[in-house]
Amino acid sequence: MQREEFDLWLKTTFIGVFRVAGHKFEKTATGEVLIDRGTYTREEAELLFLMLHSRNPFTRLNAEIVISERNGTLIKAILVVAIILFVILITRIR
Amino acid sequence: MFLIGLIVFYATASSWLKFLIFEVMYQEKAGLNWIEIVFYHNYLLIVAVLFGLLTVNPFPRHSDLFSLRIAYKRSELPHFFPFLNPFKVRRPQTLSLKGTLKLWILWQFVKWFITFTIVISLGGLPILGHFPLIFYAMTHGVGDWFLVPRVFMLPLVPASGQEIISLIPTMEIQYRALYVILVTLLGIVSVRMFLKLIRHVLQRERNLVVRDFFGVLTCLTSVIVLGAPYWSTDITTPYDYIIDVTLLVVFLLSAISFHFRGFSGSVLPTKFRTLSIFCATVIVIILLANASSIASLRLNWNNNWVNYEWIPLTSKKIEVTRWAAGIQDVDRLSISNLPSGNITKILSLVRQWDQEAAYTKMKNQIGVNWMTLSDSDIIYIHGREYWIAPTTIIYPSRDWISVHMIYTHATKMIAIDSHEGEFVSVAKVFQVNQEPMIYYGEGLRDEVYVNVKGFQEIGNTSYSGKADYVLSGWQRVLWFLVQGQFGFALSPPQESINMLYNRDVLQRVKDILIYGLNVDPDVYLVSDGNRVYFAAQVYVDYPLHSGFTGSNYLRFFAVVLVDVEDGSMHGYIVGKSDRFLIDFYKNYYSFWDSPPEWLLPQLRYPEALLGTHKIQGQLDIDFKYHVNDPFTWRSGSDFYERPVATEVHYVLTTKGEEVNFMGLQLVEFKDSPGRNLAGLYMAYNGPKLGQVELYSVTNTTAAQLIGPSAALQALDTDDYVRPQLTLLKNKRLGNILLYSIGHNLYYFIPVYITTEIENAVMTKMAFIVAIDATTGASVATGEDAAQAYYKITGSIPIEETKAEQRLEEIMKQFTSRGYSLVQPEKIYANVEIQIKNVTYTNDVMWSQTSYELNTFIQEYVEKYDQTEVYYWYTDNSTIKFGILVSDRGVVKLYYISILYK
Repeated sequence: MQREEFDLWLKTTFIGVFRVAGHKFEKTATGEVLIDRGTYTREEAELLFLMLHSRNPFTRLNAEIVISERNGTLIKAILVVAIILFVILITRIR
Repeated sequence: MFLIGLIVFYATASSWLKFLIFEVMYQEKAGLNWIEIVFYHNYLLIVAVLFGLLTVNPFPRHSDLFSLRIAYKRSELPHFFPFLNPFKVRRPQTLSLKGTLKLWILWQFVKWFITFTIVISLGGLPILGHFPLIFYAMTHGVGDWFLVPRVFMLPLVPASGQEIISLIPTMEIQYRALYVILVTLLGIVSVRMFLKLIRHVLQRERNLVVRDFFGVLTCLTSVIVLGAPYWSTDITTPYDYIIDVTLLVVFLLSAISFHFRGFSGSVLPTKFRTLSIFCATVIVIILLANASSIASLRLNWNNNWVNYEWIPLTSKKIEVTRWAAGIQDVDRLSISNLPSGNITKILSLVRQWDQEAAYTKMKNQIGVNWMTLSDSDIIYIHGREYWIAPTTIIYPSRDWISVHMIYTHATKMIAIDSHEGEFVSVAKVFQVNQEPMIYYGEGLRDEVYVNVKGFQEIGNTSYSGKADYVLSGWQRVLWFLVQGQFGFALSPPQESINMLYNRDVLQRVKDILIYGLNVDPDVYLVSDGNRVYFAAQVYVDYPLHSGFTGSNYLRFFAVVLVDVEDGSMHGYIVGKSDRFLIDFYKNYYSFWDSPPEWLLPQLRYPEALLGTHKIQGQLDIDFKYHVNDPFTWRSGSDFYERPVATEVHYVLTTKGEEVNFMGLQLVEFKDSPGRNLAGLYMAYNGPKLGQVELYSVTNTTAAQLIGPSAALQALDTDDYVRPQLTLLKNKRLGNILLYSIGHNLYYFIPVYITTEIENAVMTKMAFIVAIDATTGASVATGEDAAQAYYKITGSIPIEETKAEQRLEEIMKQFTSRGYSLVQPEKIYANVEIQIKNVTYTNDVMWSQTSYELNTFIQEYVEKYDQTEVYYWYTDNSTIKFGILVSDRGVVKLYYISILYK
């Protein structure tokens, strides 16, 4: 059911926000799709939609990583985690 | 430009001249190559050159700093922060220094020169500390390269205390050298990566920013992992170490992956992403497993404290620290085993005069306005203990001629017997022909010029020794120009001018010592019977990096003697072989010998090495690290502290008939409200130098003893002493000394009074207080220690030699030389002159009495060619010997008085 709704949303000129598995899909004026502020082509957006609905958890994880990678969340998270780990490491030194 | 060039030339030339003076002076006066010594046989220069090269960019015409500057200019930031870019750009911008090779070379040289200068002046780099010695020691047999892998594995496979001790030379030399080199390299790389990171932020190169960020983290984490062998390890340390290494691998792989690939942007799953997810999962599992192990151990810490902390950490730390501080051989005995010697003898040796009282008393003996006492030092020579104070110069006039040409030396040394408080001539103390002139001493900081035509030294004397340096030619010109003495520079009274340089003995010795050697600030006088020397005590104080050591490496190493008259120097090594630093320093100063026989009895164990209130020493370490029981350690119930009122006192003690010169330190239990005596340390001097004994108050000791602070309270609150103290004006309590007499312990505290008459300060011992250390309830006073002791014990002095025997000994001095002794009915003279008043009431005083009698015989009986000597008694304990001499009709009676019972 949702697949059909998504195809319909993608093909029409409807500019409302479409939510998939907690992610926000938006269309831009240039015909691209914004997913959580990351820019994708229509094909990529379609592929991501499928990955997010896959039964394989690794595929779903992959989709999550792609989204967070493209919008910069992943890199920020990596840097923050690295800094936290380094600070813990420093404080543990005798 | 010319002026700058002139200043640079001037500074360089005068520095070079100073180096030359040091080189020649120490060659002539100490027989050593100063440049070779202080520059570690050129290792310092080599190390400075090589470490400087590490800062050079290996890629020609590339500079991270310049690239950053250009990237900044190209970014939008200068528009927002114009104040950061005040100079207008005139040329097209490039990202490198291509085309500007000269500028690149100049910049690399500037970096190299700055690093070179820092290493030369500090002997190392900030944070990393000193390291030329490490590289020198590495090539001279200290440590072992084969042990480096074992050192590296220490955090994962902890070593026993003994193994750590055996590894420390390698940890401090080979591994330290590796550590210093790698940390410096990593530091430089991380700085470069950081500059790149900022540049890539400005250029919005996301993957490169992340790469640089992880590059910096990799460098910093590597430094931490490299330093891990120096950690002190408890049960959790291996887990910590695994976490650190895992993070290092993570940071390194992240940096590499972002360098080569970074985020691909592909939506489809890639092998790289799958591998990354797999790796991340494994890493998270490793980190969580180790973190939970640590958390679990920490939660159960107190109920397993012995196994988790005491055995793997604290017990090893105690063992290693004791070794490092050189206190592993301290003999531990119960205070009930404290040796007690002959009562009469020990009572005649009690140090009744402390340093301050002796110093005040000696001040009056100077007699001139241009000398003052430099310091008062305790010495032990020819069986007696003295306070001796050499003089130093106090300039009545500070003009250049007075300072450098007239007041060239001090002339007096003043000595006081530490028991009797009587002045003793220095010639007699050292058994030298005459009192030496002090050209080299404490506080003599100005160089002087001697044997200069037209100038007379104070006291109409002329320096007869060898000069430290002879200034002539252009060197003289340069030297005196620096001094602002144009006359001496350009038209001197003579071509060559003899200079005595670096005359402060402490500084003179310090200037030939390398890293890790320190000098006790308290130098003292010794003599071989011909010359008098200042003895500077050199000890090893080398910082160790292992977390298992709570102390620097401390050992007594050598004594350097400086002749007070001509400044010649010689070192004598007293340190015992340790297969580590003592052996290294012995090898380094191989031209120093073992101490001669005459010096051994006069040697003192350095006070600074034992520890004072200001300087932490070996005893301070032992106060805590003598504890071996885990629960005593944890409770802190057997830690000691140095009472505020006492420090190490050098005193004479007896063991049977044997007299020992030793450093005595009383200790109390740390933070004890009762101020009980916890023990006393005895550090032997002389032939047993370095032997330290701790006599501790154990639980099995029958009675508790009062500590020095409580002894002071006992004195203050005693019904008899308190009123006496209130009657005394300007009173001062002396050192608190504990003596074992007749198998009991007694504190002796002298009370001095100081009076000031017309700017002259006089000090006198009013009385001495004896306090029974068992209870503190028995307190007695006396004119001297013997009287106080007999009063407190209620006993009668037992004479060890009968008075009649002593009288016989005295008379033998005359009869054995063929003089007839005549006891007249009455004796009359126009003038009666007492030459000396001597006390000979026990055996210890015989050497003094014998000396005075010999002097009397030589200077009066022999001089006036007498064959008969008269003797008579003035009371039942005093005998007098005299001769009658007629001088132009006046009959003079010269006599000596001896109290013999």
